[in-house]
Amino acid sequence: MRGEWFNVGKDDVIEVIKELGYIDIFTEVNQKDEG
Amino acid sequence: MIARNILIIKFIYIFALQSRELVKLKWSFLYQKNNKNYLNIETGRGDSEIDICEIKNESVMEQTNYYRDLMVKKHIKSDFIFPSLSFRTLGKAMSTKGVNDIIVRLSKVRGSSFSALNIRNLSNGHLFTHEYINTELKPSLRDKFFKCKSCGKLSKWRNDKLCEECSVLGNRDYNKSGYVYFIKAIDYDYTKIGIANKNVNDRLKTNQVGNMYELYLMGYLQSPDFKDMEQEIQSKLGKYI
Repeated sequence: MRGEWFNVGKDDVIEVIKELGYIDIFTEVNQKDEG
Repeated sequence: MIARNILIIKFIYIFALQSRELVKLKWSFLYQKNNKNYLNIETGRGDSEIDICEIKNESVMEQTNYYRDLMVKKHIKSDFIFPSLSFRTLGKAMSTKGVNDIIVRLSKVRGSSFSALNIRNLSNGHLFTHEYINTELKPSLRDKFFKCKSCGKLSKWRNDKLCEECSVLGNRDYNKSGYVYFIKAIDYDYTKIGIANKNVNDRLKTNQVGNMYELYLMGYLQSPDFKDMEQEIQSKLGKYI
């Protein structure tokens, strides 16, 4: 339950989610730091 | 205020409402379908259990519409059918104590003393014995429904959390589903990946405490296999710790 901090940005996370095939159930909540 | 209070007593009797059900009633729960008027009553916590009542009595509907117009004229905007009318909490939900106080006070004017519960019990008793106070005030039967945990559709009440269709599809594990959340620091490449059983927003709050960066919830995955998914994602990103 404690979770883990990673030195990664949003794109890296999305890439891993895509790679593992979970992108269909991924819900993006907001995009506060884009751009 | 008098119009509201009288309608409160009538609603409690006609729909056999508990005080906590009454204070949660919203205008959006009152609707027309096939030329019939219906009222949805949230019985459980949240909106998972709903009773649907047909409003057969036209005079009650007329009084409700008159009361609604009166609220508009008095510039009282509220989602709730019976909002609080006091100065500090105008338009917000009433408290259940407030409802009871109204009924007790009105009953004392007539020289007796009864509560919201007494009216509800009277209504339930009348439903059972097919009695009523007068032709205008007749208790209505409540049809019990529940919201399916998986597809969100309203279905006839049964002792389950899933509708028949979802049960057949084998979605039972949905009850045990949880979340893998992704919380990120704004403008920095730090992301926390963890799991939550119920509420991902609570995780954001607890993570923000004591954190020097401003955080936001980037997104989440919902699945019964959330624990395995978290492990999988974390091991993929292991080199970035």
